[in-house]
Amino acid sequence: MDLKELINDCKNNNRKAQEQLYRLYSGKLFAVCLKYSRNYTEAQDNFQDGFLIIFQKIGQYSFKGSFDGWLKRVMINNVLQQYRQQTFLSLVNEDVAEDYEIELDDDEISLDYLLKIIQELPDRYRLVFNLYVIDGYSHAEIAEMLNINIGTSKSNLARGRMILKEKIEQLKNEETNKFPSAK
Amino acid sequence: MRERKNIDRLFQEKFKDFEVNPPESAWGNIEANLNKDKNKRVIPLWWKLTGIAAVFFIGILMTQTNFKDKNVPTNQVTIEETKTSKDSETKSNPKLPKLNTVISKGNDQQAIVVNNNAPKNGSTATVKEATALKNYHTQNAIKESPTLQSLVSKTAAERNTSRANLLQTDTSNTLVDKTNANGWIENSQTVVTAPADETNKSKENTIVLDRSKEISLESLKGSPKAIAETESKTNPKDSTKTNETPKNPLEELLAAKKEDKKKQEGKQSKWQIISNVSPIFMGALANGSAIDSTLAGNSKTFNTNVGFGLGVSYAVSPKLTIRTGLNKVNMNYNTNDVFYYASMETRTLSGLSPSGLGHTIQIENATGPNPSASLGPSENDLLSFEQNIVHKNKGYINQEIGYLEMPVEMTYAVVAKKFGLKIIGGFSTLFLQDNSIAVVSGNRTTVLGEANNLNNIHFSTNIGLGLKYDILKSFEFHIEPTFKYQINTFSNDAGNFRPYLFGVYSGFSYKF
Repeated sequence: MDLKELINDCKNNNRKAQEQLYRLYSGKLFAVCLKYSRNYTEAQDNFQDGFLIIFQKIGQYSFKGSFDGWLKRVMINNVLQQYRQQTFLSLVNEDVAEDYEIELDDDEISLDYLLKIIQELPDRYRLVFNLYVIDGYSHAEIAEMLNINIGTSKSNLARGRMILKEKIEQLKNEETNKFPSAK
Repeated sequence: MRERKNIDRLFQEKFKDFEVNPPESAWGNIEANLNKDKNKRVIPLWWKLTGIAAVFFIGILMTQTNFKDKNVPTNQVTIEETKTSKDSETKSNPKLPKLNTVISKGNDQQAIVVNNNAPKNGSTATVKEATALKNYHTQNAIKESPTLQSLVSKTAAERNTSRANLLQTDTSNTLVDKTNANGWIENSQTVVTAPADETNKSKENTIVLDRSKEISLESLKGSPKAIAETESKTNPKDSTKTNETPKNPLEELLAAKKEDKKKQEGKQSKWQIISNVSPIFMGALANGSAIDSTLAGNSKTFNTNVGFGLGVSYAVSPKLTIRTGLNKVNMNYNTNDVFYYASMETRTLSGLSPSGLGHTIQIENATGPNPSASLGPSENDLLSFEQNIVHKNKGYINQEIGYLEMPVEMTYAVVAKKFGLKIIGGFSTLFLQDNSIAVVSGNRTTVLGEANNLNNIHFSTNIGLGLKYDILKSFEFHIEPTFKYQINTFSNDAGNFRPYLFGVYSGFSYKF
């Protein structure tokens, strides 16, 4: 069955087609949720809500642009919705160090750890970091999506980066302490 | 290898093909929510559909006469058909102008019968035409009257000769083509080429049907007589036309197309008109009396009535339909074993609004251990001389209740073939129409009044099983045993009296 047919069946609320679509894209979209959410449980909640929205809104997909992109956008928007509703701590726009370089070995750091530290970021830092760095949105787009101004988006990103960098370095130090002979 | 890396690049690379399968439970949760959503949406939709169905039903009631008229044209269809075939005959045999005049003079029925008989005379070339005509004949169920038959025999003889002539001309197909290019006569042509082809036969029958429908529309405008006249007038025109437009295959194609369309429409027909007649069996789930608490223990006899109605249904999906309608329902039951007598000081039954004589009639339970104790003034309260005067009649109370019922039901087809089985569920709104309580002794009935505790509107929940059989594509016969439990029939508790109805609703329905 080709994708167009599958999408059309989903538009007609065909349960089997919906399940097939789910099986096709659940891996990718759950990964999105994991990145944007605070933890696994919240990711699952957001994922389920997001998929429901996808099935509700699939009728609006008019086969313009990639379907993958559309799905991802719906999913991201859904997650943003979840965290947009929550109040953020007022964040100070202060300049942070511009040095985002880090020294590390290849495969030194596991994906799991990176995911963990992303999830541990404060909500808005996490959202901005994901949107900008991993999913390639511009600051202007992010500002609009999160209803903040561009400057805030930039400073959030910088702060997020800093935290991540600190955590990675911390891990490195821990590991070198654990295995001093490695160095 | 150790290198300095931009933190952004690190994350981008790591998360490039990041995929994680969600927990297995996720789909279950999503599916459950999808189902919930569906249910949520179904309710308003169902109500909307109910509204539409109700409006439609009212529309049908208003235009009911129009629907009946729909059946009329079929008669004229045959007329036209016979005429066209006659045309061919007369065309192929111009020597028979006499025949033509006979037809135009004679009334329609004559013409039909004549034509039907003619093929029976055994001219092989027209076998197919004959079957087509027979088809009509059976469908329209036109009865041959004896007076007509005498005429038939006369004209049949003439016809025979014309048939023979036709046969002669038919010896070559091309000849037929020229003479009969008018379309209808494809029949006779193809008969000659493939008389034994059964499938062809049925096809052509329907083609002819289509054609004749077209004509019937035109013919509807004028009276049959006028048609006969115009027919005879157009005859010469037709013969000229035939020379101009020999387009048999094209017309055949068009007809086939039309047929296809018709088939499609048949599949899509979602609306159905339903007629119902049913014996209504009444019963009660609990003992009690709606008339008076003292009569709760008395035995009740529930009488069988007849209910009837009309409805309309709409197929939401091939399996699911929603329907509504209007039924007339009467119930009537007896409360046995009562005494009644005329009294000056009556204690009226709690469930009765007496009228007329009802004010002066005292009812007593004849079964209770001490009937007089419960019901107002009776023997004990009467003065001794009164006791001698009062004559107690033994009899029973008959309560009659009539309703106009508006059901709103959904049916789910378990089997949906020629034979169908479906489950019916829904509810009815019942509007009180007739309401009377009478006391009956022997063959004397005395109306006491009305029940005062019947609600003007009440509801019932309906559960039933439906069996149907498709007689024709759009006609089906159904029989639906349905149980209808009555809710709040009575305004007060009515002594735990909870009636129900059981009906075996049978009738015909028509899809359109």
